[in-house]
Amino acid sequence: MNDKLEEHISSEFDKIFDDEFIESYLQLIKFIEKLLMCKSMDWQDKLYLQKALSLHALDLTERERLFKTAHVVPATVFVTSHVIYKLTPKYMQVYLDIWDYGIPLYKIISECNQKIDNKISEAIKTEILSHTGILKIEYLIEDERLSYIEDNPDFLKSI
Amino acid sequence: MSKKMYIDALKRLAKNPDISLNILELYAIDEDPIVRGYVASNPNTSLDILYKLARDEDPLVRGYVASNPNTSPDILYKLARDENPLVRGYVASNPNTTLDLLYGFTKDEDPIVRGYVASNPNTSSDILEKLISEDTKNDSNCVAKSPKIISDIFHELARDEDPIVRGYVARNPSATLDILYMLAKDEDPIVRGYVARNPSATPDIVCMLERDKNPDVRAHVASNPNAIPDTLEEVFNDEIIYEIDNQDSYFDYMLFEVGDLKKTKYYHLLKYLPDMINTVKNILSSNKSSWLAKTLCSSALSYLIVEEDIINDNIKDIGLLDDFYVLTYVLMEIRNNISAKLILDAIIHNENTPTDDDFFDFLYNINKECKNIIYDKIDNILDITGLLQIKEYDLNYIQNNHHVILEKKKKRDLLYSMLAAKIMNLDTNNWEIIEYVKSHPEFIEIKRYMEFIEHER
Repeated sequence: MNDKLEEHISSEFDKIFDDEFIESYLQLIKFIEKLLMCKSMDWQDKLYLQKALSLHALDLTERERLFKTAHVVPATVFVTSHVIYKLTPKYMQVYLDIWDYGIPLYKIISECNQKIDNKISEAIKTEILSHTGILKIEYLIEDERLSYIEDNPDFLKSI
Repeated sequence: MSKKMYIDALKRLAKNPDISLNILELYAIDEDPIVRGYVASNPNTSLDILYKLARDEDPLVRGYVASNPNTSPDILYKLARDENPLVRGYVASNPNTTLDLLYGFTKDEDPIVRGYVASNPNTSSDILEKLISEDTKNDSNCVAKSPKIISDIFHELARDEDPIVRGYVARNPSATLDILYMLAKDEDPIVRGYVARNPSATPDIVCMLERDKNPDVRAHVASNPNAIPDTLEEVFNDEIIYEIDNQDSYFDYMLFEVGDLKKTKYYHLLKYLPDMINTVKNILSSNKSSWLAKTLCSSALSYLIVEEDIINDNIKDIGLLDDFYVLTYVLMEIRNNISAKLILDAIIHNENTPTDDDFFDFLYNINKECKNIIYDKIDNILDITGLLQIKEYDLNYIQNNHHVILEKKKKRDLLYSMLAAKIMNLDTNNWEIIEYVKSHPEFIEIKRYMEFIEHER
């Protein structure tokens, strides 16, 4: 991500979120970038992560068309935190190796959830996952990884 | 000061009506085309300066001259023949442009130029009808933006099967009340949302939409000046904030960057980068695209965002060639395996690229040329993005049979793990096989299982 994109995301987010959260979000984006260049990650999982990063190539109106919701910025945050969260069990070690920001990853993911909870309902979240094609990719990646999250809700806290 | 702050400061300076002529003359010869562009857009800029800037080598600067309300008709006539469609488009949007020029633009090959004709306040009904007679969807989109649109055309567009076209009508302040009533009941929530924020929507239409079943439509009501306080209170009680604003796209900045590449070795290819980006973006955000088309587009756009990719974006001459290659590769995959029409619909608004069937010859040629330049990196690029592996799948099969694919994938994973176990347990000379597997990216999944076995020992 070059400086221009960083500035662009900041200016897009600063109407809704505080500076501290924006900085944390930028770290998530940089984290995804590093993961995408990581050779040990499966290709299906890369296609999954790319869904989040590519959103920042679209302007707000284009994203509104894609998501079919006016809550474009919270929806963007939702997609980013969702894909990172879902892949954590499989890539726990990779995450630990790459994540080098002062605030633990789980805290940022949890903050993302708090920021979007009062803006996007569960039904709209499912809609967003469907419109972006993320649900279909979830069929391509193993079920065990997803069910692991339900059985071990605290797994993320180690990162 | 960051570049963005610097540009913001210049923007304020350029819009300042009190700025002296001396300062404008000074900035008019600045080496940065963005600075010269802001001078060209200033209402105080003299005709002399505008004459000079109309001959500027940068189309952005000439475009700003074309859009300046003080630009004289003779300059506009000159710029109307400019090779760059954006410059011609700005001429077409200038309120000083004469009717004969506007009529001439209705035959312009570029839909953007014709779109600007439609939005010109002086465009007459016969010119609009001429634009409509082209009868393409793009023209319909463009004409729907016109403040002077005639009633019959409006009614026709309001019934268009494409919700994007209906959306343009719904947000047009000139839309009549009967049309707004009709579109307020449209099946598409985005169309209803546009009605909800249309300043011409009466309080009763706004009230009706405030009770819309879709929360997004209700959110749009908050931005309507006709919304009554009670309505607004209810909307805000929903804790909904409407956030769409006139925000520039990140890639608007990138266009400047591509402009900076003019003197680089492969500018003849990279000048098409913005068009390729826009085409891929249009496919990704279109509701007509399948999940697979969206997935391929996401892959290309995310690779474009990553700066430190296979060929670092900052490397002179070839830094963006890999990004360009991925964009063209993805478009060719969509054309060959999903739908050529999807691409043709998406390139309607592009500036430089040929349309219709010529586009695919053009696409093939630029992809091939790019591939020849970075031939030794292609496998790595496709492997790191996952595009190499998805190509091995039967794309249409994936699209329609994801449950079957899941089973197939499980079987394949089992086979990979068995192969890995077998390789790791060979008694002699297994290092040759291990090295072979490790050095070939197509075996990355077997390699991962081998590493797992090694780790567990």
